[in-house]
Amino acid sequence: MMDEDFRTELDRRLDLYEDPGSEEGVLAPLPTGDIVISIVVLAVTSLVVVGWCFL
Amino acid sequence: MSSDRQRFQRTALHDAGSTSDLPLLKKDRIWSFWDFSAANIGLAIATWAFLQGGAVAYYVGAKEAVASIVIGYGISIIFVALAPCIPAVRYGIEQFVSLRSSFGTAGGRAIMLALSALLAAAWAAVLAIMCGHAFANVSNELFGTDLAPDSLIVKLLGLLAVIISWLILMRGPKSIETVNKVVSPGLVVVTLLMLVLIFTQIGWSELVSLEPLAADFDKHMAFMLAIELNVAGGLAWWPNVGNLARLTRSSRAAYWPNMIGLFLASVIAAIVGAFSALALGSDDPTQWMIPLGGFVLGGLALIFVGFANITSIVAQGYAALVAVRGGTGNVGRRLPWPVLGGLILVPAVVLVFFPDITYNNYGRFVSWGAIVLGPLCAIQFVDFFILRRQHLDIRAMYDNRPGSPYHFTGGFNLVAFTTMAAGALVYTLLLDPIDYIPTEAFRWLTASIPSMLVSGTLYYVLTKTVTIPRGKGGFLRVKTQAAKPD
Repeated sequence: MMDEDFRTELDRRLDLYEDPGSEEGVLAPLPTGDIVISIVVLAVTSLVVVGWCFL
Repeated sequence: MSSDRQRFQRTALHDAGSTSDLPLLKKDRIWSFWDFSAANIGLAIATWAFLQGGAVAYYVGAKEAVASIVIGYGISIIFVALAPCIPAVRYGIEQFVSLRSSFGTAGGRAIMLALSALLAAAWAAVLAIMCGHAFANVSNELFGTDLAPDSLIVKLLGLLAVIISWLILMRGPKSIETVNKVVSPGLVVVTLLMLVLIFTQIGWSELVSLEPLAADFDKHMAFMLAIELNVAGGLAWWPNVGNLARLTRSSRAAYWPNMIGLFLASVIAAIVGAFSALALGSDDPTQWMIPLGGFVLGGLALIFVGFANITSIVAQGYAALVAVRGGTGNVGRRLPWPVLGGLILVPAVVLVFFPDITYNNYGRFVSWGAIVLGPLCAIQFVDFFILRRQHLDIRAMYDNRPGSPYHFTGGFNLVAFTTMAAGALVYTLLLDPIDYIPTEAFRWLTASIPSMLVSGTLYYVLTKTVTIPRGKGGFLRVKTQAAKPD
């Protein structure tokens, strides 16, 4: 499915990603705390709006 | 080379950047936190938010509308901000490439192609018809015409909207950006103006006393249907966001702007839509502007909203175009941009000639998307965040050969497809997608949430018991690459 110039450029970029000395590469993961904060904020907000709506 | 000729050339690799399926380099990651937030707000405050609000008002009153929009969007946007966005930004890869770890090298491509093309066509048709309705309403008020919502003129106006969208799409990403720079702030103004007019003309106490547009269900069931509609509405962002998020410079910059744009801005616009629908007794946004703002102000707002539909079609079409071009490999990369854009919009050209069926079934159409998108998000989430702990083998993502980690069985991860089908089945057992009739269990469960839970859990169990023992999926050989500084 890949033509030659695409393959060449892809390999160059993958090499850069895997080279520990290169500036290119994988970014840091999303901290689990960020996900937890979102879920907690959503849960609290949901409770508040349901309370406001029905109580 | 003239600009016209350039337009018909395939994208050159050296300036491919954001529009290619190659992993991005540092220079290609052009968006900061606030850049992505702005793009996200522009995407969220679009005419589809009004349609969503109108659909919610069909089931519930003002207070329940606020609650259901906040809860429904909240649940789905968290998944949409995580599942497609974080793999795409961490590894700088296209959304359909990131799907390969869960659905296989060919499976990921098939899913992305089918969903992007189908959803883009459906959205383009709905929005083009809304554009036709807007201009027909302006004509009825201005010239005293009597154009019905399903008249030939409305169909032709819808067709014209699709053609204009294609012409903008043909000119590439720059023209889309230029048009959006005008339309997005304009829509923010229209939304705020509508909110002010509702509160000055109707007032909060009267608004909360208004009944929903239909009384088909009891209050509890209607509230759950509204939540379901909003979960589905949030999931509908799935095809668009991953490819945008990968342009950002950190995982946080790819995640939190979704909360500002897709969540907060969408919630505000949908609430304004729901309030307007309740106040004016119609779920059609093109019926709101003139009664609210009067002939001049309302007429101008309606003309603006009519044109704004075109930018929404273009935004959706562009996301599909990038996905289809990447997903079709060399064939797609070699096809000129206008031809691909035309192919994506062809189904919409047919659908605009059936305006009543297409436009009046917005709720059903959004739900049909959720039947697949909910399980898909759940599988992607479990695969990337739980089973792989945010680590992929980037070289293997581009390796289609049999025996490669993400090749699974003939390029398809059958476990992912089976669990997606199981989730879809759960959805249809809880909520009939044709008649939109819920079962009693729906009253406590909704449909999207259990369907996501079933898909995600089943995917986890089957991966642990079937995929990993068979040595498929590269779960045992992930090379943990050290993250570079953001």
